[in-house]
Amino acid sequence: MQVTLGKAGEALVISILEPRLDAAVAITFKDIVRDLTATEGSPVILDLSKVEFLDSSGLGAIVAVMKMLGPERPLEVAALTQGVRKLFRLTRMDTVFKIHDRAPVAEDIKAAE
Amino acid sequence: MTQATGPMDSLQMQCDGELREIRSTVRTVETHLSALGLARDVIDDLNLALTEAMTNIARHGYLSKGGEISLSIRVEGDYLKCQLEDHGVAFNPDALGRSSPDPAELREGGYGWYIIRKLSENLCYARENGRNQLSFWLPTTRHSDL
Repeated sequence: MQVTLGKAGEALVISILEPRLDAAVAITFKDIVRDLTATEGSPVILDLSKVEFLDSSGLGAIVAVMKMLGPERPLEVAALTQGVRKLFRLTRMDTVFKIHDRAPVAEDIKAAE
Repeated sequence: MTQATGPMDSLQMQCDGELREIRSTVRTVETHLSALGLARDVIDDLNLALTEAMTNIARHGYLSKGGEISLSIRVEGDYLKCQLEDHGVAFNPDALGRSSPDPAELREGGYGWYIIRKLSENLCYARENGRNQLSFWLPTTRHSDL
């Protein structure tokens, strides 16, 4: 799974460069994000602009990351594509996550794979 | 993964109940239906419903050890009629996914059946000759109203 890590002001921005965030990659996703969030920055913003498909396992992994980060370090999501937005709406997770219309312009820290 | 040839408006496939293979099977279905000119949001719905149903079979039916899943999809009237068959553990979807999980509980799973029900109509399940048969219809005329 390819991701890039950036900083936008105080926020840590993780861009997921994967067209499908599903059951096949959910565990990898959790592991990568856990490692990347060792870098300081709050809130953590997940840039999902490249994710065309999210299933309930992918969503569960995003929820798991939110819980892992804890209340002091909010997880927010940005740039949801049409199908991804629909799943957030269907499961009412749009009431739980702060959703940014666009990904913030971030200064790259590093790319990870 | 194998794909049978047939008329354009129907598709039969077999695949192993394994997550990566489910992924490529759903991709093939997507390509086939795009070629038929179905709307993007209808294909997105099918993609999601199939992925959820097949992931359930792989995890709970075959206990993540793999096993054959047969898939049949046909376009009929205003519906995509989908049928999935497997020889995994029997299940009963009747009681599953009837209500929306409370988002405030921050559950990491348990959304699959709710999603399938929300997207589909005529969800039916039967167990025959040691096989699970699951079918559902997805409307092809609905626009993104959810």
